[in-house]
Amino acid sequence: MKNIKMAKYISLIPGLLFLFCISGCKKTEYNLLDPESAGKWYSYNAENSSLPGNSVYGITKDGTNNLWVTCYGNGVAEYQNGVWKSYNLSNSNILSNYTTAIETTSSGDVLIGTGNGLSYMTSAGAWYYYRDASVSYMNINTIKIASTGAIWIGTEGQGYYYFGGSGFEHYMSGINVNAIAEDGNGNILLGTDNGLYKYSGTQLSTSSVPYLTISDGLPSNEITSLLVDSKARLWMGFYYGKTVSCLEGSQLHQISLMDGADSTIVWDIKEDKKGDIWFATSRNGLIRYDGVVSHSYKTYNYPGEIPENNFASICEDKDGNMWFGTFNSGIIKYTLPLE
Amino acid sequence: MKNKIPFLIMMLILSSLPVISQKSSEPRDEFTLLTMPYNQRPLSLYKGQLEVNAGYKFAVRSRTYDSNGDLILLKDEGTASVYHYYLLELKYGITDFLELTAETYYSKHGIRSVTTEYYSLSDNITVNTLSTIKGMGDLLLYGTLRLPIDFKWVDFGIRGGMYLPTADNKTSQPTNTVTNITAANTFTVNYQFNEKNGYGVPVYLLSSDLKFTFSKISLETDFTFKDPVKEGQNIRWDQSLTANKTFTYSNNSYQYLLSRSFEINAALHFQATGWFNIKLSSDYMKSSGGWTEYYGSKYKNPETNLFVLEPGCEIQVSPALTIYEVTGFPLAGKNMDGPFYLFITASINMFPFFK
Repeated sequence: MKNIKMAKYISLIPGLLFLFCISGCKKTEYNLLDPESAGKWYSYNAENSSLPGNSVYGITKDGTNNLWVTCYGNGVAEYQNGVWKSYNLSNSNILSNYTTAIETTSSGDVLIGTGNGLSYMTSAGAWYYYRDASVSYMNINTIKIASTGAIWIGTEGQGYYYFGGSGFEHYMSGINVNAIAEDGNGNILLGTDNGLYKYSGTQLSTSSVPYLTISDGLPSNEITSLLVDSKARLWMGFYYGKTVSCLEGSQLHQISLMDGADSTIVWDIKEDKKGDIWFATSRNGLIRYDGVVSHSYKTYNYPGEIPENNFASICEDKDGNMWFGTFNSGIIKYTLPLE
Repeated sequence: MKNKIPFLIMMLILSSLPVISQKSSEPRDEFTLLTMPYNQRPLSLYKGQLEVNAGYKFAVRSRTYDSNGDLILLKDEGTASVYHYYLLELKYGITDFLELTAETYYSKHGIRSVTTEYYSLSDNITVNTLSTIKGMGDLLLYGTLRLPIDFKWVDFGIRGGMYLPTADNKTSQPTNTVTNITAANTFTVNYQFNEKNGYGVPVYLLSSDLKFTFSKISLETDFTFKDPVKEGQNIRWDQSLTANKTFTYSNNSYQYLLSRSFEINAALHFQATGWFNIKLSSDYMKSSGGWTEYYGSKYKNPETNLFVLEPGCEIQVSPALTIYEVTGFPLAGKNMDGPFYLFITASINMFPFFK
């Protein structure tokens, strides 16, 4: 009799387990992505979309995760909900259609570098511009908004401009400033044709002594691209360098990326969400460095997916997709493979 | 949730039925019960019966099925591999109609990828990749209830239980090496990724089993459903090669929700003699739902399915020892490996408390 009572209680176990399972379920509904979309390339150009031009020298994303691209000769375009909306001389107060660089502020304003000065569109749609009247031309290579909110502008032959809130200041006239980055300590790094310059974010200097040059181990003084990655490493790409440089702490490493060419131009460097580093090159397509091996993405590897081997710009969107601007074939999107 | 409540109530009522209708057992002959052939055996153990099962499965991963269901022969790619699976299972008959089971496993499996060579003007890097998955599996606890009647020609049972996440399923740090360094930029990278077994979260299991016997022929079908209780978390490792050819590692955590799965098995048995039973079964498994996080985004888990034909036999060696053997031949699938396998189980039965 006692055994039967015990068995009765024990026989409730499956039911209780089931009750526990149901009550313990904690599953949230999410918008899920299709795994079939991973590892795929998709091309946008003026022929298959409303992208206004095919020379995409700059890409960035704004605070609402919309993409902004420059289309050299055709103004800029905003990618929102699958549609490209263009801004050019005929429908806006942009300074020039020859756009070269683009950045957005945390408040949603858009800074556009052109071959003729800086255009500025506020989030409310008002347009402003800055052009230094003291120089004969103001061709903007790069724009960087520092963590302090200060604006740094690198130019072709006119050094750089700094805006800290009370007007633009002009430094290093006569030098090409090709790339600007900020490290984790707030230092601003300028990639120039004369090597790397490093400034405290709050202390400007007109010093002509670069921080790193060929004599320190760089393969070239002509720095065309910079990136401070999530591991605080500073990556430097060069104008026809045989390697890229990586400054990790005080150690300077050279990494060979080139596949079949003795040197290349690295126009942009970005890190993806996986931690791999991407290089946009001239002639050598895209190169992904996974920390051990550099992988080449060229037209002969990916016929129909990589439209050309000349890349100018890279940006990552909120979903981790990588966007690559080309010199003549529009923009391509790559969804990272599931590894 | 609401539509599951009637089912829950039914489960609770069903769990009480065996006891209500159970009669006190007559004294039974231990030898007769232990040597009961398959075609006369009910779906659960007899009261007081203890069964210890120790199994070994040897599988050859020589074929896999892609997302279109197309067969890929891994041995043609040079990436075939084997795995070893060791099962330990304990069963005990609380009554003639209720059985409790605990089981776990240990498995070891290595997957080698195709060797890749990366050439550039100044680099010549050969990359070998080996992913090893090994370790203890989770502990599965479940109860089996069968119809509260003496088994003559039909029997029905249900099972309910849970995989408890007892296994440490956190992926271990890789143990990569660099070998064959013949020059500064000519070397071989050997990736060694170390994964573990286990779901990482509780997974519940519900199952039903139906058996018919017509003389020496028996037909048994069972349906099993598994669903994770909640989302889990694991880590992925990333590596960088330093200038002096050593690796530094970092890891990132990611979330996942296991797919739910169901499995249908149908088996036809023939009791050739009292000690020998042969069977031919077919097994179909399908999983769907769930997701895995990659780079901050959640991707659906691919749907998988696998259809396997399993001939097998049961040999009663002695009253206490029975040997089971099953051979698996995968016939079709999707997004899944289809290994050929041999599974041998030694089953020890006794009535340790039977007076």
